[in-house]
Amino acid sequence: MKSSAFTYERPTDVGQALASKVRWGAAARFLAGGQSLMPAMNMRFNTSECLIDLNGIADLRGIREESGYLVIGAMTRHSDVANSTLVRAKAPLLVQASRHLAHAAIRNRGTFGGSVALADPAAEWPAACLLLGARMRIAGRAGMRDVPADQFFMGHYMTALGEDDLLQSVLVPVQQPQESSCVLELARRQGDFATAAIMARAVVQKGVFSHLAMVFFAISDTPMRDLQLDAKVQAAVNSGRFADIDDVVKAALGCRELRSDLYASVEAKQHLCGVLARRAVAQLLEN
Amino acid sequence: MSTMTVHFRLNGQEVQAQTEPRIHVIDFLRQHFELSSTRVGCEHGVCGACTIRVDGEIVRGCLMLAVQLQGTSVETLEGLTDSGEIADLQQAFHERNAMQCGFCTSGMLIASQDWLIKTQTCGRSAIREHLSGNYCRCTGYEAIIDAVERVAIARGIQATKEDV
Repeated sequence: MKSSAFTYERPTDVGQALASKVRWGAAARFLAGGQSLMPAMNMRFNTSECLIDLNGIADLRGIREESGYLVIGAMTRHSDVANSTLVRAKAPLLVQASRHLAHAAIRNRGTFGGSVALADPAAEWPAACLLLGARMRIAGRAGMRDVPADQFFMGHYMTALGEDDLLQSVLVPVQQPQESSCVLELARRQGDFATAAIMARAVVQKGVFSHLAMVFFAISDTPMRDLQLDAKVQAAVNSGRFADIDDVVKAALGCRELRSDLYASVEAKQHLCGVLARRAVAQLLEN
Repeated sequence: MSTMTVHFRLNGQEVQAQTEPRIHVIDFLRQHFELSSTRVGCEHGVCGACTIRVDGEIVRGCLMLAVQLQGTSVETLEGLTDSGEIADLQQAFHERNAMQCGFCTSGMLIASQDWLIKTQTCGRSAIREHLSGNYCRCTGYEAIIDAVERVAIARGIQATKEDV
C-alpha cells in the first residue's frame, strides 16, 4: 500500500505552520514524528491533501526546567526524553514509561507532542501527563492557552486541540525526590500496544503509603484516574490487606466505561487492572 | 504529479534526486538509487525490515518521506558493508546461520549494530528487547541472538555467554 498524493509544506516557525493550517483547513494535517500518521497514510486510512511538516521548526524541540516544571517541546523525540539526564532527575516516571514505548527505531522519530495530540488510549505519554498533572500549551489563532491533562484528553483520538491549533509544548510538574513511581504494561510482545497498563506514584516511608495515585490506560477511551480508588487501595496497603487490592480495583472499574478490544473483553481488562494494581504496589514498596 | 528536489548524503556520497512528496524513503532508495538491501515489509512501522540509519540513528524508512531526507546523512546496509563497520557481525550471522530467506536480515543487522554501539546493558534479554522491533519468520530468532551475543563478547561489551 502506498500513500495517496499530497502537497508537502515545511514551515520554519509556528506562525507559518498555523497560517498553512488555516489556509488548508481540514484538508491538511500536521506531520510530527510520522510514526502514526504515515502508517495511516500508507494504508490510506488518511488521505490528507496536504501534510505540514513540523520537523523544521527548531523552537518546538527541547527540554528545559522552568519554575518547577519540565517544559518539553512538542517535537522532542521519544528517545530524547528517554535519554535526558534532566528528565531522569526531575520526572523519572517518563524514563520508566519510555521502556514500553514501541521500539528504538520508532522512538528515534516519534515525538512527545505528536503522541499527546493523537491521544491513543494505549499511549504512554497521555497516561503520564494525567498522572503527573501536566499542562498542554497550545498555540492557536487567538494566541496561547494552557489546558490541564484532565481536561485535555477527551476521548479516543479526541483532545482539546481545535482544528487550527498546534500543541507547542507540555509542562510536566517536577516529581518530588522522595516519591516512588512505576510503569507496568501487559502486552503479548515487547513494545506492543498494551492490553492493560498502569502508572503509579506514591510516597513510601517504612512501608507506609501516602499520596498514592494510579492511572490505568489501554482499557478505555482515555487514561483513567479514580481518586476514591487511589484512597481505597492506599488504605488496603497500609492495613496490610494486599489480597483485597484486586477486588477493590475490579469493583471500582465495574462502574466505569471500559472498552474491549481485539485481545480482551471488558471483564478481562477489569481483572488485569486488579493484577496490575497489586504488582504496582509491590513495585513501589520495592523501589 | 509535482516533484521536489532532495539533496542528502547517501552512504557517504552527496546525492540529489527528484521525488513526489508521497514517496517513502525505502521506495526512494530501492527504486531511484537501486539500493535493494532494505526491504519493504509491512509499510506501517511494525516489522522492522525497512530499518536504516539516518543521521546516525535507526529509523523506519517506510515512515519517513523521501523529501524529509533533505540535508541528512543516510546509511543503508550497502554502505555499512562497504565501510566494513559490521564485518564482524555479518561474519557471525553467517557462521551461526542467522539468515535463512534474508528478508529481515538488513534490518536485523542495522538494529543489532545500533544495540552493540549504544547499549548500556548487556545480555540476551537486552538484545531481545532491542530487537523486538524486528520480525523474523524463518529462524525463530535464537541464531540471531547467538550471533549478536557472540559479537558483543568479541567486542568486549559483554563478559561471558549466557545460557538462556
